[in-house]
Amino acid sequence: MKLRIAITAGLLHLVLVIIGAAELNLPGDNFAARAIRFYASLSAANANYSFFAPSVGSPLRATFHFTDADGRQYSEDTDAQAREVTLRFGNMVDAFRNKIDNEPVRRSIAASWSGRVLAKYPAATKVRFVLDEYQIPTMAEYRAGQTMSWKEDYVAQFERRRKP
Amino acid sequence: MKQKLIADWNSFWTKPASAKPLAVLRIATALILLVQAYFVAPHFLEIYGSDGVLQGALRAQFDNSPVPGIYELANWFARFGVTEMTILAGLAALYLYAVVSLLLGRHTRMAAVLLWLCHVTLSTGHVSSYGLDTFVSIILFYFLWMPVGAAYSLDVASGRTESEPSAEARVSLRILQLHLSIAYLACGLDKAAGIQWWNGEAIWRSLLLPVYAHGDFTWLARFPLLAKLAGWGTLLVECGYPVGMWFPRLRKLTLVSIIGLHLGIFFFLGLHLFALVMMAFSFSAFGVNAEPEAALETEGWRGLIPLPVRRTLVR
Repeated sequence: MKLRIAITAGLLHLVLVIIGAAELNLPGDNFAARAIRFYASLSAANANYSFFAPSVGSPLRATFHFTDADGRQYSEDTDAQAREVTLRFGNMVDAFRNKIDNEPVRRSIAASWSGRVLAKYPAATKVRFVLDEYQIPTMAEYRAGQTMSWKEDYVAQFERRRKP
Repeated sequence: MKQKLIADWNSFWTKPASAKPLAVLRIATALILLVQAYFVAPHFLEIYGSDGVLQGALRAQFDNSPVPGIYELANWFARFGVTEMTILAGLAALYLYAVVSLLLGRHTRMAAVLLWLCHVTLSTGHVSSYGLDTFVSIILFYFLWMPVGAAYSLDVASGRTESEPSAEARVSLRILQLHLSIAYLACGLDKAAGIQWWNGEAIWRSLLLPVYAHGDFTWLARFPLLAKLAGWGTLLVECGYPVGMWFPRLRKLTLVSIIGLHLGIFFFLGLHLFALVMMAFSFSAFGVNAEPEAALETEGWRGLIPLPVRRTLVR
């Protein structure tokens, strides 16, 4: 009996896995639908498996250009970390793409991130946040002479608040 | 006919199996999570803290999961005067304790519960989460229910847990195998829906992405057929997974192919931990022998899929 319950529960769970994999939304907003959605999220049964699919997009890169009081300039970008950290920061950079129509949120993300990085450079007075998108030509275009390049997607500049 | 079907169904789900495949997955997952913790630790507050990259309430902008995460947890505890730093430090300590306990198989069930809670709190709906977190969430959720401590564990060594082959282990293994089959098929079909995997551009682009690229692959543009074949190969391996893994004659080839695919991801795309967790998942579900030793002695080696009981009796 216990095994039958386990098998049935397992099969029902796999039905949710199929629904998640097919990227279908459970209809309804009643208690049962919400409970199933909660369970699916908790168990990751709602995961979709669209890794590099259906196509491989163009990644974004965030770069911070600092200027200190003497006019010296230096930069830091999000790719210069351990691979695991770069991947996670990369996802955060992609948050910009997801909020493309929401300028206040994009500006807030830029300010938040710049503030964090600025804290690491006490001498810096200004930071310029630049978001670039990597442009990759097709193989045929590359053979014809086109090359890879970074295209500026978003720029914001911030100054350190002066102490009263 | 009907009775045979019922017998095959029952054998498929309940024939006692060793918990070794589950234990291999437990150990591999714990090791991968330890490595991940080593790399993420220096940036832990930057990623998860309210003074981090996404500060304050901005974090909630990206959380579309119904499951409460670190942001909600910190807010809730703030009512009692507990700071977010204390919560994060506590979570990190619990996480490490649970990973090590899971690795050793010491109070395995409790460790699995603790680790799953920590992982869900940190990664579900978090803007920094990626494919690795998704699969770790899937695996850790299964660890809550499956007898992952019934082999290669201190629980077995100390007599706290029995290591006898069990129907629970078989049910667990089948669920893992079916889940993987669904995941790879979905992944393959999703790729096949785009033109890039058919004309080789997906391989070309993947190898040139600065985040992932390991080396200069621009020479590939002179050999587009090679990129095209690699794209087709990926589609074949992923879409063929749910077929190949369930046919004994194809299983070894399918397993080698999928491990090869993930080795490619490891070396050429640099998605090290993701590739490792996927290899560990497939290898433990389909590559580790789950047949009880006594059965093996009488049946001999017949590949990795257990023969139906009916055939064993005829022999």
